Amino acid sequence: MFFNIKNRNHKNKDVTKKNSMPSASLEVYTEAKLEGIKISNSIIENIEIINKIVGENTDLVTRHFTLGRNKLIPAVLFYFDNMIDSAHIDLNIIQPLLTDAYTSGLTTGPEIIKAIELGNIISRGQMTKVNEMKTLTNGLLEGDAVLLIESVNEAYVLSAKGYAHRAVTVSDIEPVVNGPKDAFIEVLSVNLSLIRRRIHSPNLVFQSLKVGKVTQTTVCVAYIKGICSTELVTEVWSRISKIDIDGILGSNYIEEFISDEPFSVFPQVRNTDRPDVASAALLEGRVVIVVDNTPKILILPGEFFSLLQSAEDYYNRYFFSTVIRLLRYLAVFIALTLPAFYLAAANFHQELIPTDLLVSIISARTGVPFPNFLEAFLMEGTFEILREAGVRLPRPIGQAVSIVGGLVIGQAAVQASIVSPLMVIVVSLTAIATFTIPQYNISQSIRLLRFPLMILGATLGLYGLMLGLLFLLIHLASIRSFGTPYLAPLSPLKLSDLKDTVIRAPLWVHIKRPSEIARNKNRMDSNKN
Amino acid sequence: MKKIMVLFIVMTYTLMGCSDSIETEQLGIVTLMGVGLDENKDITVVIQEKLLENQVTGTGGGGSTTPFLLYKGSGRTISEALQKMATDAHHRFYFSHIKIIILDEVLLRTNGIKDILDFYERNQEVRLSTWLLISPKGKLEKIISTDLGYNTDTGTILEEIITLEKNNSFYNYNNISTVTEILNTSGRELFASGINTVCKHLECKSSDKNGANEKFDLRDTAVFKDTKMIGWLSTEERRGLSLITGTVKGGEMTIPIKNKALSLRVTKIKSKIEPEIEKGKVHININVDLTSRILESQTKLDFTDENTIKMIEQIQIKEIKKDITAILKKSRELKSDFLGFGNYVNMRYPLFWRKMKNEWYSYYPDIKVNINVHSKIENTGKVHNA
Repeated sequence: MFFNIKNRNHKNKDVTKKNSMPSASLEVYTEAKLEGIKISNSIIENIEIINKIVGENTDLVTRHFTLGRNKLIPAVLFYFDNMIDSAHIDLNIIQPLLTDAYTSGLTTGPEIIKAIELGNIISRGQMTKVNEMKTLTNGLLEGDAVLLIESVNEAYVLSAKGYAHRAVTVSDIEPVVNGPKDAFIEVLSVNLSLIRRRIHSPNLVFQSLKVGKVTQTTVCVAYIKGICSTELVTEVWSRISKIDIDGILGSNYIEEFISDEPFSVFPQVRNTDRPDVASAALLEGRVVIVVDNTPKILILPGEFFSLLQSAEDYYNRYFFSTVIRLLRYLAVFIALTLPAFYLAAANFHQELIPTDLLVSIISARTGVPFPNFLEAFLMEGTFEILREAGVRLPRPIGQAVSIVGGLVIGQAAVQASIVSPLMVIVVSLTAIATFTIPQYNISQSIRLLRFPLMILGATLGLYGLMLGLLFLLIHLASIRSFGTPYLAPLSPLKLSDLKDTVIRAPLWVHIKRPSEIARNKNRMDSNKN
Repeated sequence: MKKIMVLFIVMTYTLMGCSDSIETEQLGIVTLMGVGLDENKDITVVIQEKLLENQVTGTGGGGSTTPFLLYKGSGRTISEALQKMATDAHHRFYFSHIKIIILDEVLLRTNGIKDILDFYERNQEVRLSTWLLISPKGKLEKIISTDLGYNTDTGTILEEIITLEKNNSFYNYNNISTVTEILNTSGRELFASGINTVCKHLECKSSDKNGANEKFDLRDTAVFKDTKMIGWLSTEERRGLSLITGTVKGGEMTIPIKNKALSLRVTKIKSKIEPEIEKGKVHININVDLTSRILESQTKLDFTDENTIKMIEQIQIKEIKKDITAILKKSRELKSDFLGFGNYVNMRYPLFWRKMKNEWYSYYPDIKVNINVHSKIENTGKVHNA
């Protein structure tokens, strides 16, 4: 008993010792500091340096072994746990080195090294030799395995990436009825493959650079040579390379940095999570930016009308698509102006309202204690709160919001004469209209702009509403997205481009690409390059 | 740029701004307005305010028994009368939705129409497309206060009647803008349609005071000289007037054939008035082109026969000529050129008109008028030869 207790005490001491903060080197390794360090001949020295840089991490795996049966040469394999696929490490790296080498007759260490040097033994596809500590650590941190061998002053960086990620699933944000359903995920290489699978062209180019001083996120610029104008690519590249930030956690980070008009309410970059939309954009001569760890890719330039287009437009028959497209423009107009127009008409221009409707407005409003303007703001505000609550809440509780919102706002508020039923109709019509806008970012802008227009409509009537709309129009006409006028092709007017803006003409009419964007304008006659 | 923006915003709000704003529920929607004369020769104004659904008995309970409220006031002008009325109204009267304006015969015979129209033209709220009707002597208030039992206000009902009838009958309806235009035209006198109440049933009981047994009758036409009303037209004269002016689209007319009747529907009317000067004397050619179809026949005529159709056409032409002669006679009797001959002379021979403008009515009764009527029956509506 006594012993046991003593032992336990002893153990406890050990445990406390274990849980105490392990001594980590306080040295910070910046890019510049890593720059100069070369990989040396001595494996012990190399291990020491690596341990100094990343050694205190628990997920760093260090595997020591020796090569050969005679003339043993010590070697070591470094990798980060769970960043690699352990099957790759076992079958393609460790097993060949430890057992397969001998079956092929290589017995001594130097022989094996020579074979590795020639590209034999290790059966992993991607293998690069590096002699700088900086590239070694970069590879290690990206999920490569690093093989170091005594008396070799180079390291082998073996790609065995295999981290857990989401599978390619159906697009949640831009669903379509017809057409492909797959969507981008968070892994860059998978996303690139989704585009490459659609465009089998040697001219499709993916060029990547690292952005973010700390995160070192890979940002990939994609375009099709010969279709996309080189000026556009250079401009995009230069803007991205100028980004100075510690980390890129989503494609919006990039968007905010490279937008032409950062103070505009309107988004100037289109984003999508659909590979088919990205491919269509590439074929139009646009540049696509794929950012690692984001399912949303960016499409540049993103002019106004491209933001109002849905992938579905091209998968339905063109009659229907045209009607739907026109309907969508109407919906945008409703979403933007309906509450403002209602306020203007009800407060200033009662003569515009048909007599019977005016009578029903008045009877609906008898008993409502608030003026029209306040009532409208109350309802629009409540709706925005409800929507935000619906988005933020975890999905199981999310339904509660719709029940409470539907009952409280839709029914109880009307019965309690806090709002008039007509206002509920106006607000819900506006809300539904915003849902038809396929791009979330432009729908946000329109939701936001509704409020200033409502103020103008309620204080200055239709005159104010018109002022606001004209001001918006002037603003829209004055901004550009990567050199393309934001209102193209309406202003400046390009008649031939209207076939894919106002209407959706049949695909065989799309002989030319959008003239403001593409360098090679001929979509159909390939002889006229 | 920023300074300009700020200045712009400040200007928009200080120079105009919210002062015009009015909450909808503070409005009293006036749909009908009547103007007449009271015993002191002051102008009386009666207006009908449309009641909301929940204020009428039946849906809300405890409300008014009629679907409208009546306000009455008098003064030297319409504005003064309205001002007096406003003191006992809890709403601001809103005139943009007036459908009908009814003017009293006595007022028009004594004061004339010009002073009354001035209010409607000057007022920003009243629309120029509002219909103008004339009530016979002493009936103004009765017409306005009559509730027909349709559970809606009289203005709306009358507007519906007019929109239905004006494409379907030989009756002329004028709105304020037309009336103003005619009044300002040289060589033309005004005519306007009248309103009356008649019995809905064949026999009217005097004990029914709520008016449920009455209905409106919008057939009458009043004619003016200068700005004052001088008389009413008969049925034949009204049709003649419509045919000459060509302002109606067509309607039903029944003609006698071999002691029986045949109904025709006139589908197209094209009329042309052409003045001509010969040896210093004016004479007028009236050309009327009609297209009709057969609505109903009591005769056993064979409509496949061309000669029958020609015969019918001839009878119709005779009838029409009778109508036109009747209205011409009336016009000459009253010495009122509401057919607008003077205006046509003015358009064709302006110099000549300038000379004889002032003595027009000394010539008017003796002016020679040629009436040419052409009729065409297009559709016999025949199912089988019977």
